[in-house]
Amino acid sequence: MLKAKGIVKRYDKKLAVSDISFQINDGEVYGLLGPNGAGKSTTINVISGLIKKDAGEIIIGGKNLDKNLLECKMMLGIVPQELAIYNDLSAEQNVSFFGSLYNLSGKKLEEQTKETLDYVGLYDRRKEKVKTFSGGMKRRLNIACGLVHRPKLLILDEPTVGIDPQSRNHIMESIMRLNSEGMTILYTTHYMEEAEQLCNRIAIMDEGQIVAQGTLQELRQIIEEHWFIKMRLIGEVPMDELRLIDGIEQIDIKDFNYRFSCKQKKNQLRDLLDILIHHHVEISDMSIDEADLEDIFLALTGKSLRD
Amino acid sequence: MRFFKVIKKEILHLLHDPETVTLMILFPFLLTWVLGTALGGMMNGGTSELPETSIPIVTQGSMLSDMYIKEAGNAGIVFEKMSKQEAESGMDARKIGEYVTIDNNSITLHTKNPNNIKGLLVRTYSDVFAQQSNIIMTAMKEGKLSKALQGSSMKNYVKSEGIQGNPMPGAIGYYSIAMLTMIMMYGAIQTIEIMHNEKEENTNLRLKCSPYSMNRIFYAKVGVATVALIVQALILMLANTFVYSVSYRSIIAVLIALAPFALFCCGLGLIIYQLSGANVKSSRGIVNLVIVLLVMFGGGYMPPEAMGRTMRQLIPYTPVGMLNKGLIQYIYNNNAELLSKSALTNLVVGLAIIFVSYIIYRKREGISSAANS
Ligand SMILES: Nc1ncnc2c1ncn2[C@@H]1O[C@H](COP(=O)(O)OP(=O)(O)O)[C@@H](O)[C@H]1O
Ligand SMILES: [Mg+2]
Repeated sequence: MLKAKGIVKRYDKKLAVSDISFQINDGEVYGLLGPNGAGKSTTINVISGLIKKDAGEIIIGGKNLDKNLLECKMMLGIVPQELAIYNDLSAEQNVSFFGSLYNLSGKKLEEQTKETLDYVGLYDRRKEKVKTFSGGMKRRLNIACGLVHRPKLLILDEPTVGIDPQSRNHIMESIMRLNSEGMTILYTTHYMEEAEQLCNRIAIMDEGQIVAQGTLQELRQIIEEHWFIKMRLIGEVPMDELRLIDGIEQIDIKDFNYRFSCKQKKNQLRDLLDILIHHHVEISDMSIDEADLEDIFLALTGKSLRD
Repeated sequence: MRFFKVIKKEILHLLHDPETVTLMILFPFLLTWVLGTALGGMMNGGTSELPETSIPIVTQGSMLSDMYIKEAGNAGIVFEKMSKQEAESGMDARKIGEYVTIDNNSITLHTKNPNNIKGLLVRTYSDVFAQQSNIIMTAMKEGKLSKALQGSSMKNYVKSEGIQGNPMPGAIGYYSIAMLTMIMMYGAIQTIEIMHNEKEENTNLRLKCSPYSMNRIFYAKVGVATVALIVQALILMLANTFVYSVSYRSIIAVLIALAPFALFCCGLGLIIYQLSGANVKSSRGIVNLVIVLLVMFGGGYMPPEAMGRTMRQLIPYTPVGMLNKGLIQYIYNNNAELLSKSALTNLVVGLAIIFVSYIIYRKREGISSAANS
């Protein structure tokens, strides 16, 4: 559905996106996961023809974006990060207007407008002005406006930022339903839970680069060698000695909870227990965890997604 | 088809903000009344500030003229009855500067110098008097006040005559022109809002992502802004005609002459908005200032005869001044020369600034014509 090759975008001197490539297959949900400022929106804006790229090539549905801009635009549906809807018009007027920009008219426009409003659960309030809507309703309308012309590829830029859990669930469900009906979706987020729940394949972005991409399973393999020992320790913990254990990369402490990030399966657990027992530290709880997206991101970039 | 949808959307925006639209009409309508009778109010309330004005009057004597003379006393004007010959020879001998004649059909101010404050006072007072008496008399005749407010015959009732014998507008007549052109200038702000709306709502992102041409969005916006302004002018003229009984001679002809001015006003808003880097706050501020200056130098706040000599001479060379003067000449002297000249100037200047704005807009929106045909 979409091929992006060697995309570069510079703002003045700042490199917002530096040489990224990825491919989205027909019918999949592709996630761009990364912290604020990673370059997700910039990537999306380049794909949707909003801003000019400095280098690279984009193919949408087999057409080159630079050469067939109009055809490419017809295939895309955009849901911008910021709300992009008319507050002084009704929900229906909004959806219908944006539909008409994509050459819809007459009965077809009317039908698709109704269907779309129904889809996002705003049909009953279609005649009301948008300014009377709650934040979650506006977000849903924002999606509807990008959906009305039935795009082949729907691009959503952090559609769940700053909304209540109920609206968020509604949005996640709508996206899964759209995808099950065959729509290809490009989804950006900085919430790893969303990416895990929604996306077939994920690209992890940081500082304008894709640091890893693949299915969740594939991504896990990247840091297969990473594992985590969690312990609840009571007593005087000999931190200096623990830090010296071969293969322990990082120790996070919260109250009495210790989290040891380990690289490669060596004898870290045995060494840990040896030292702790030797110092008479009480171990009241212990578990060994697999990596999640947060850990993968941390391992790849040395930063936390959440900040 | 899509163009029609875009236009429809712009009209919906305007209609969904009825306050602004109503204000655009109501405000000048009320201001015409306030300014048109301001000098009348001054006469009633502030006789101490103004020296008593005495002025000769020629009259056969009737209930109406008696009322006119008596009421004037309250307003600080003292009429001295005179015969027509006395008044005329007095004028010839330059012993008197002006005099008033009154009969059952009209009040006329004869003056050598139409620009003096004395003449203005009399005209304003006559306006107010005619308005009131007209309402009262019609109401007495027909027993209905509502009717009196409509089909009044005041149009030609108050006349004043310059030295060449040219009729001139009364105070309300004057402000019904000046306020009309003034409020049309505020169409510049309306245009800024129409343009800025997409940026404010972020919807320019969607427009740019869509396959629809950003150029046509620009045309649609300028078109709607201009037509909306012409419609507002029409409504204001109709209101003034029915309520204040002012005459525009031919509303259609005036409207045709105002259309290029509407284009100019929208262009003014556009170019300032684009030059300010699409900054709505600063462009609104600048436009407000420009409007005040243009209206002031166009004689919008004060009739030219009440201004200094230099200002008076400057007026016909400013866009609003030329238009106002052109309208007065057309409406009161049936001379459309200056009005046509003004319309043509506004058309040329209006189109030019819109074109420049369009170039800047294209550059800003990064439109390449090949991509958005
Ligand atoms: N219009 C712009 N001008 C200058 N710098 C920008 C602009 N837009 C984004 N940037 C910079 O580019 C980087 C990527 O931003 P963005 O794509 O918005 O990231 P994300 O969507 O992942 O949060 C950031 O460092 C941001 O500051
Ligand atoms: Mg973003």
